[in-house]
Amino acid sequence: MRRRKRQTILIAVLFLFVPLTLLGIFTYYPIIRGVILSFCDYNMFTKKVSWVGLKNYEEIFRNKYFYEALINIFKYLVVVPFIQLTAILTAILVNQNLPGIKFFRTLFYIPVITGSVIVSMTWRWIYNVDGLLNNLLLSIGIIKEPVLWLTDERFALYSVMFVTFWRGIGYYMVIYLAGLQNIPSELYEAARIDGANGRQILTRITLPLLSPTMLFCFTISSLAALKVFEEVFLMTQGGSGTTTMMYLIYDYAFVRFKFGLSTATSVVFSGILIIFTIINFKFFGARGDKR
Amino acid sequence: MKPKKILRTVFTYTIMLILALFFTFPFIWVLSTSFKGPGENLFTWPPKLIPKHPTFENYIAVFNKVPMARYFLNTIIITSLGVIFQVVLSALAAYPLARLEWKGKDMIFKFILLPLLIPMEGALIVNFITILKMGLYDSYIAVVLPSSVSIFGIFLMRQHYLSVPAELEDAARIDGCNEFQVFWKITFPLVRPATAALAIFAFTAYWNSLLWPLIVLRTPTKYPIQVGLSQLSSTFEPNFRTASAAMIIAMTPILTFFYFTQRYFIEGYKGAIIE
Amino acid sequence: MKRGLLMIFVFIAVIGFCKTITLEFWTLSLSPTFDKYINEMIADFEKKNPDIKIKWLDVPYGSAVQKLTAAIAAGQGPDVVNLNTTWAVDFAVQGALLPIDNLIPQITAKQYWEKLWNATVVDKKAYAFPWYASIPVLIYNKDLFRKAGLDPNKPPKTWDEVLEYSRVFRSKLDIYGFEPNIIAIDELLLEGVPIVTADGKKAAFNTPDAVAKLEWFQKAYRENLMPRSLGGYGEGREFYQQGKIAMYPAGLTMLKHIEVNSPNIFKVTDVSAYPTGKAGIIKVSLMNLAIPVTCKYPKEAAKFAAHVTSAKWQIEFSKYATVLPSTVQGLESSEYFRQRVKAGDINAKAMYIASLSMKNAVDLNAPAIIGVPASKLPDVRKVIQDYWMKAIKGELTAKEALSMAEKEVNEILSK
Repeated sequence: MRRRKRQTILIAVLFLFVPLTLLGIFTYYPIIRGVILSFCDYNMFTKKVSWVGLKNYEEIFRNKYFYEALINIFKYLVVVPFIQLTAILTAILVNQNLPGIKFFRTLFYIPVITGSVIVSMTWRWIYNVDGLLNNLLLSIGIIKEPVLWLTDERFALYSVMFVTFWRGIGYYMVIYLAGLQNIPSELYEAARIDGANGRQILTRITLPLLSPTMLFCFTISSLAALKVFEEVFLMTQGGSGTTTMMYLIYDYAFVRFKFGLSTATSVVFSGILIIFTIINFKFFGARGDKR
Repeated sequence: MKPKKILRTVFTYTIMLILALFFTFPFIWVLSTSFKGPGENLFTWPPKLIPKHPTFENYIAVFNKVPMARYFLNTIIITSLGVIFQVVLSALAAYPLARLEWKGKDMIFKFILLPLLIPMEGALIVNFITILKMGLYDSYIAVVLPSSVSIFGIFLMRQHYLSVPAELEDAARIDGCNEFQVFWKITFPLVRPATAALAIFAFTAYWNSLLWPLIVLRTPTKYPIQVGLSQLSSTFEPNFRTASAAMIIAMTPILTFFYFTQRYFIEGYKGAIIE
Repeated sequence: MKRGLLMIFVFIAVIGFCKTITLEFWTLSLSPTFDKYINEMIADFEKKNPDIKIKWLDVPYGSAVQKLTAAIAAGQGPDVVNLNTTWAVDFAVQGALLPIDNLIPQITAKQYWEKLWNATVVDKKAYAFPWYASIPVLIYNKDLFRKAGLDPNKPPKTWDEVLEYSRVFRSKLDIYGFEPNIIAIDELLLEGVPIVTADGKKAAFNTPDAVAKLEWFQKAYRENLMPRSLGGYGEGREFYQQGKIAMYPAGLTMLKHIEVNSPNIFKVTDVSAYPTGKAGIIKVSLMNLAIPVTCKYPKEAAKFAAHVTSAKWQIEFSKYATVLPSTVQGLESSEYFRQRVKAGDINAKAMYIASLSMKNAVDLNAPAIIGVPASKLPDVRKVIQDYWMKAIKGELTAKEALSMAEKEVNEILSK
C-alpha cells in the first residue's frame, strides 16, 4: 500500500513537472506582470514605468463602452445552449457506422477551419439587404421589408451570433463524439430490448453519461462567448453597438498602446469570468465528477 | 423491420446532406473560384458556382508566386512539434489530476484552469522577450513552446479520465500492475477518442497560426503557410483566384488529418478489452 | 618579417574601414509582388554605399503593429520600417521612433510635398519620410450610365451631382448610385469644418456646413441611393463588381482589383476626379518610412530611407503599382507614363488624374490637421463616428447628432 502511495506521488510529480514549469514561464509570469502593470502607467518603448494606483481602474469604469461591451458579451451567452444542443444531436447523428460517415464528419468540421475573411464575406451575402435571407423571408412572406441584419442595432449582435453558432457546431461535435465513445453500446441495446424509445434513450442514458463532456463544453463555450472578438469585428467592424470586452483589451494595448489600461481591463474581466465559471461548475459539476 | 430501417437511413443521409450544404457553402464558393480562369468575373450576383472553363492554373500560380512548398515544410515541422507537445503534456498532466488520490489535487487543477479566465493581450510581448532571453529567437521551438501546454487539453483529458470505470483499473492493480502500468496499459488507451480530438484541435491551431510565428521568426524561409496566404491576398495582390487556390491548398492537410484520425473515435472500451 | 607585419597592419586597417553595417528594412505586404523592384532598388543603394548592407523583410499588413511593437519593446526593432500615417504617428507619440530632422540635409526634406512631410510631424518634429501615396478617384461603370440615359463622358464633379445622378440610377435602373467609405472626421475636414478650436480645448465641428454634409448623407440613405448596409469600400468593391452600384469612389489601388477579378466590368469602367468638398482638399493614403529608436545607425538608416523615397525610385515604383510618388517631381516627368496614358491605359489615366491633385493632397490622419491631442484622438474619433452613423441611419436628426457629439467631445477634451 505504501509502495502505491509512493508511486502515486512520483507520477503526480513527474507528470506535472514539465507542464507546470512551462505554464509558469509562459502563462503565469505574463499574468503576474500584467496585474502589476495594471496599477502603472507603462511605456513599452521607453520602458518608463510609474505607479498610478487605481487610476487605470477608475478610467475603465468611466468608459461608457465598457458597459456596452459587458452587456454585449452577456447577451452573447444566448448562443451557448443552441450550439451545445445542436452539437450533441449532430454528434449522435454521425456516431453511426454508416458508409461515408467519416466524409460527412469532415465536411461538418469545415466551418471551423474556414478563414475569417471568407466567412465574413459569404455570410454578408446572406445578410445583405438583397441577400439570400431577405429574399427567402420576403418570398415566403414572413417579412414585408428587407431587414438590415448587420446594421440594425436590434439584430446585429444576433446575426453575428448565428455565424458563431454555424462555426461552433463542428468543433463541439468532435468533442461530443469523443465523449459518446465512453457510453458502452451494450447499454443502448439493453434499453432497446426493454422497449425504450429514442427520446428516453437520449434523456435517460446518453445525456447523463455525457455529463462530464457537457460540463466541459458548456464551460468552454461560455468562456468563448464571453471572450468573443474576431467574428463580431469582422462582420460589423464594431459598429451598431457591438463592441466586446476582448476588443477593448486589444484596443487599449495595440491601438492606443496603453498597456496599463489593457491589463486593468483584463483583471476586471477575469474577475467576471471567474465568478461565472464558479457558477457554471456548481450547476454542472455535481454530475460531472461522479465516478 | 427492414423498410423502417431503410427509411431511417434515407432520413439520416438527407439530413446530413442538408447539413453538409449548410456548413460548406463558403468552402464550395472558394473551391469553385479557385478553378476559374482569368477571363471570368468572380463577383457576379447571384454567384456562379460552375467555372466556365475550369483550369488548374491558379494552383500552379500559387507555387510560382510564393515559396509554397517551403511554407508547407515549415508548417509541417511546426505542427508536428506542436501536436506532440500538446497531446503528450496534456495527457500526462491530466492523469494525476483525475485519477490518483493525493493532497492538493483539486487545488492544482483549479490553479491550472485559472489562466483560461485571465486573457492578457500583452502576454505576446512578454513571451517574446522571454524567448529572446532563452536564445530561441528565430527557431521552430520558439513557435511551439509558449503554447505547448494546452489548458483546454488538460481539462478535456481530465474529463475523459474521470469516465474510465474504476473497476478496470482496480482489476489491473489486483493483477499486480504498478501505478505506471495501470496508466499506460489501461487508462491511457481508453481515452484514445479524447487524445484524437485533442490532436485534431492542436493540428488545426498550429497549422493555421500566423501572428505568433511572425513575431518569433525573422527568417522568411521559416515562415508558415498562413504567411503565404496573406501574401496572395493584399492590396497589390488582388487576384482572388490564386488566393482561393492557396486557401484550398492550406485547408487540405487539416481535413486529411481529421479524416484519418477518426478511426480513434471508437469506443475505447473495445480496444482495451483485448489487452 | 617587416613585410608580414605590414600586411597584417594593412589588413586590420582595411577591416576597420570596411566595417559593414547591416540595416534591417521592413515593408508592409509588398512581397512577392514587388520583389524585383525592391531588390533592384536595394542593389542600387548597396552599390553606391559599399559599406552598408540591407536586409529586407516583408511583413503582412494585418500583423505589422504587433510584430513591430514586440520587436521594439525587445530591442530587436528594424532600422527602417514602412508604416502608414496613423501608425507612424501612434508610434512616434509613444516615443518609439527617432525624429529625422537632424538626420538629413534640409534639401532632402524639401523634395516631398510639404503637406505630406507634415503628415508625420508631432510636436514640431518630423518622424517619417513620405513614401508612396494613393488618392481616391471616382470609378464608374459607363455601361450603366448609358443604360440610365446619362452621358458616360460627363461623370459627376461635385457631391451634389453624385446625389442627382444616383437618383436617376435608382429610378431608371433600380440600383444604388454609389457606395462611400464613411469616416466622419474626414467628411468634416473635407468640407472645411474644423474639429476643434485652435487651442485644441473645445469642439468646433457643430457648424451649418457640418449639418449640411450630414443631411446630405441622410438623404442618400433615406432615398436608398447608397447601400444601407454601410459596408464601406470593401463592400463597395464587391457591389461594383456585381453591377449593383454605378459609381465607386475609392482609392487608385482598387482599380487593379476590379481589373483582375472582374475583367468584364473593367472593360466598361472609366475614372474621373474624386469630387471635392468645400475645403478643396483631397484626402491621401500615405505610406511612410520611419526609424525606430532601437536603430543603431540612424544616419545610415536615414540615408537609405531617403534613397527609397527619392523621386527616381518612386516614379519607378509607379510603373509596377497604381500608386503615386510623394515627391514634388511626379509622374508627369516620366516619358514611360505619358506613353501609357496616350495608349489608353485606364490605370495610367487614373494615376494621371490623381497626380493632378497631389498639391492639394492632405493626409487626414495627421494629428496637426485634426488638432486633437494624440492621446484623446481615438475616443474623440469614436464618439463623432458613432453619432454620425446614428444620424445617417435616421435614429437622430443631423443637428441632434452633432450637438450630442459636441457635448461628449468637450467632456473628453476637458479631462
